[in-house]
Amino acid sequence: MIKIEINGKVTTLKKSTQVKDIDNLSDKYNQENSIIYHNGYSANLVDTLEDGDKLMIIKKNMQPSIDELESLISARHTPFVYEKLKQSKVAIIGLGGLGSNIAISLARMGVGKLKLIDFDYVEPSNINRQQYFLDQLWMHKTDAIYETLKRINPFVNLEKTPIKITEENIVDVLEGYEVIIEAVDGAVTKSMIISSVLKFLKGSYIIGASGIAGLYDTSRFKYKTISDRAIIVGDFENEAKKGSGLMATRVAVAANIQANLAVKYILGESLND
Amino acid sequence: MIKIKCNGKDCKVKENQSVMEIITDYNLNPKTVVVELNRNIIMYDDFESTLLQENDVIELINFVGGG
Repeated sequence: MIKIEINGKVTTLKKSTQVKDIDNLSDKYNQENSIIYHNGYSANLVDTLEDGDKLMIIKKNMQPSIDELESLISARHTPFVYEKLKQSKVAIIGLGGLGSNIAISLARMGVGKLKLIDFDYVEPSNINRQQYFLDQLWMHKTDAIYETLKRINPFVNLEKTPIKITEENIVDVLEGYEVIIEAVDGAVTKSMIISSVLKFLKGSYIIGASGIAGLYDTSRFKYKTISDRAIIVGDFENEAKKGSGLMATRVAVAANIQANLAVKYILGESLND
Repeated sequence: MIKIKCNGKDCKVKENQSVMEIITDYNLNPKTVVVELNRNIIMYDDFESTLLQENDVIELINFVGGG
C-alpha cells in the first residue's frame, strides 16, 4: 500500500495505482473537466503514483470547498514548499513599490504570517508602480493591501501595523520575526532599519534594497551581505531624485528578488544558488 | 598613520581617526551609511566616539533612496 495526498487529504492506495485510476479519471468526460497536477506539474494519466506523492484534481468551473482550496492554491508549488512557508513569519516595512509587490508575492507563495507596516495612505502618484487600485485612493496602505491579500489567499494570517518605524519602536515592532524585509523609500530610514536589526534583533535576518530607480538594466542589480544576517539588493547608485523616477518594471523586479531571497532563506536554501 | 582595511582595500588613516571622519573622507552622508567595524555594527550615535585602531576592518555600506 502507498499513501498519497489528494487535494490535501491523505489517502491509502494499492501499489502501482495510476493517475487515471483516481476519481474515475479514465472517463473522458471527467478528464475534459479536470485540471490535474502531480507533484506540482501537469499530470500524465498513465503515470504510476508513488508513496508520498501529491495529486491535485481541480474540477473546472466549480468552486472548491474551503478545505480543498488551500491545497489547490499551491497545486503548482514545488512539493513541500507551501508546508514550510506556512510555518513562517515575515515582517514587511514599507508598503510602496517594493513592499506592496513583496506582500502579494509572499501571500501567493503561502507565507503563514505577514506583518504589514506602513504609516502612509494610497495617493494617485503611487499607482504607477504600487499594487493599489484607484478605488483604494486615500485608504491606509495597510488596509488597502490587506483587502487585496485576502482576495488572493485568505489563508495567510495578516497583521496590520499602520505606524512609522523609528529607532525607538523598531525592536518592539519586529521582535520575534525570523525574516524582516526593508522596503521603505528614504535612505536615512533604510540605514537606520538595517543597523538596528543587525545590532538589536540578533534572531532576525533582514533583506533590504538600495538603488532601484530609473530604467537601467536589471542585470545591474547585485547583492551585498552584511554580518551574515543582512542582504541588500540593488545597484547601490540609482536613487529616486529629480529627473530619475521610480518605475513599475524595475521596482517590481527588485521587490521580487527580495521576496525570492526571503523564501529561499525560510526554506534553508543557499542564497547564491 | 595606522593601517586598516576599508571596504576590502588596505588603506592608511591617521591615528585616532573617528568613524565619522572616515565616512566624510569618503564623501558619504553619515545618516545613510551602515557601518560594520570588525563584524560589529556601529550605530550613528557612536560614529564620533568610535576611533579606528591598527588592523581594524571597516565596511561602509551606503544607502540611496527609492522604494
